[in-house]
Amino acid sequence: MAMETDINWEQIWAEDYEQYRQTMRADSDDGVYWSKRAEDFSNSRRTNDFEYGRQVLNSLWNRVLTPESVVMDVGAGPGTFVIPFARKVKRIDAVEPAPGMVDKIKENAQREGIANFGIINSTWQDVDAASVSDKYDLVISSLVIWVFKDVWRQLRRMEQASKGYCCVVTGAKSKNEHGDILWQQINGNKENIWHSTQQYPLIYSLLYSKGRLPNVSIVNYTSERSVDDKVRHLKLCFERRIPVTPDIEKIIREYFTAKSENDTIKEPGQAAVIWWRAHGFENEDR
Amino acid sequence: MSSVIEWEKLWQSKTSKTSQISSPEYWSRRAEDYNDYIRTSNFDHGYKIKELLMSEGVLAADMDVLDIAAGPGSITIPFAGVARKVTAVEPAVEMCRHLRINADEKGLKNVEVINRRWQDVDDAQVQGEFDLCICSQALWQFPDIVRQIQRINGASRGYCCIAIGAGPDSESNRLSQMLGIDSWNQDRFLCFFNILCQQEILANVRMIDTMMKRSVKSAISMWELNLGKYQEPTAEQKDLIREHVLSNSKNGFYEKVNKLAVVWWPAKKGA
Repeated sequence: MAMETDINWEQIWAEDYEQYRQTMRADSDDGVYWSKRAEDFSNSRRTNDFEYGRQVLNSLWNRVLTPESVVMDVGAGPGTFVIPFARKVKRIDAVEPAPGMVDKIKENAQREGIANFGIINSTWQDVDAASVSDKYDLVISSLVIWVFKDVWRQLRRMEQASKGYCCVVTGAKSKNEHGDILWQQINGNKENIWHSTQQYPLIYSLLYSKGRLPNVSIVNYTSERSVDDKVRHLKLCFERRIPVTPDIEKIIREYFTAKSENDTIKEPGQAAVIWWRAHGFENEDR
Repeated sequence: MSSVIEWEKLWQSKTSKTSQISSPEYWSRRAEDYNDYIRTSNFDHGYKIKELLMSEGVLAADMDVLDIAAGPGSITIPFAGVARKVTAVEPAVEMCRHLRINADEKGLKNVEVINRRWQDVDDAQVQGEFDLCICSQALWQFPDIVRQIQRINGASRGYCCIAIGAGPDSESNRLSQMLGIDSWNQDRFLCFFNILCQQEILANVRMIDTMMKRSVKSAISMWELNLGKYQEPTAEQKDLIREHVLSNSKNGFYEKVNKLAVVWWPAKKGA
């Protein structure tokens, strides 16, 4: 048997996950963290009228999505997909555990006059898969799969909820430029506090090794945040790992102030939109 | 860790022998059955890739295209129907002959055939000359894949596209196994995909269904010549091939739906 068919992608994923979590304090809680991140993350995702979500929508439109589609968004954040998708599809249900993010979805939806959405205030792991079985035309998730150690089990549950397609959207660049520079500046080491492997090829390889035939569209988008937002973002991110003293916060603020234009930090991003048919492939039981 | 898997070395080790024994002379011997496949299938995968790339804005009427390892024109013929010009590089003399006949039959005047191995094309002459460089189902002919991807990048001022078989093909794999042929299909695509990522090339991927339709004679010839690269086929092996082909044939035609990964990306500037 060929060497690469023996690669255990689930194990590589789990090891990567462990390594990533080990950079964090044991008491760091995802729900608390993301509730605190709701403000800056919402502003980032709202850039250019939800450009990130719109680009993802465009890459799926007419291929996977139609005006009749019913969508589930796993880990919906501040409404990254809920807002742009709801404008075009029949309905979108948002699974989101962080109360701060749920508030942001409601706030963003109200501002945009959007009502064709639902909120399931829960982690994806706690959603009863049987109750949503084959309910959606598309089950989509952005970033959230990185909090699943048992990623394959969670992806299978996403497939169970879909009668059509599944989609995972992930950053396609391996580096977090500002974060890397600041972490090194503050800690004097090159330790990577983000994921050790390139997330995009890892999730793609896992899906392919399980018999899925994933398509990919690379999309470009911009994220704009104020200096305050970026300071809050990095401060919260670092606080999961080290005590952030006033001196450290000062370094972060000076860094972003120097990088800013009209109090704005503009970050170009590239994401891989990975989508695949949730059923009907060879060796479906794998 | 996926980042420390040596994909490039894996590719090299898996393709060096097969590429070496699949010489231009071998492909000249294969030209007749391969041309039968492409023509009987009505250039199916070429037209499908053409439609896909046009809908994605990667192929248009004012473009110059380079088709690497063009065969009898599987890509060249459909693409020449829309592009300004298609330059087809093909090492096998007999494939070039079929390609010219196919182009003439379609009345295509915008096809230039260069009877040469892609590896022997002078980089300086093709640098940035094409809007789209495409290589369909022939990448495994290049064990030094990274160098060839860089050269393909260099020849393009627009996009690069690779079409490569993907997904499980249990029926063919079973026969290959019985014949003792090391068919490296399903995992070849994954290896290529990871190599692209390691090269920091962010590519789009579409999985498409293509129809392979060819006469029973063509299918048997394909299998026998393929096996003949490794050994002289025995009578038992010939029976196995015949049995496989006939059990997958209808009305004198061997028909199979294949999965093809169409992968494209904007050429890197300065590559």
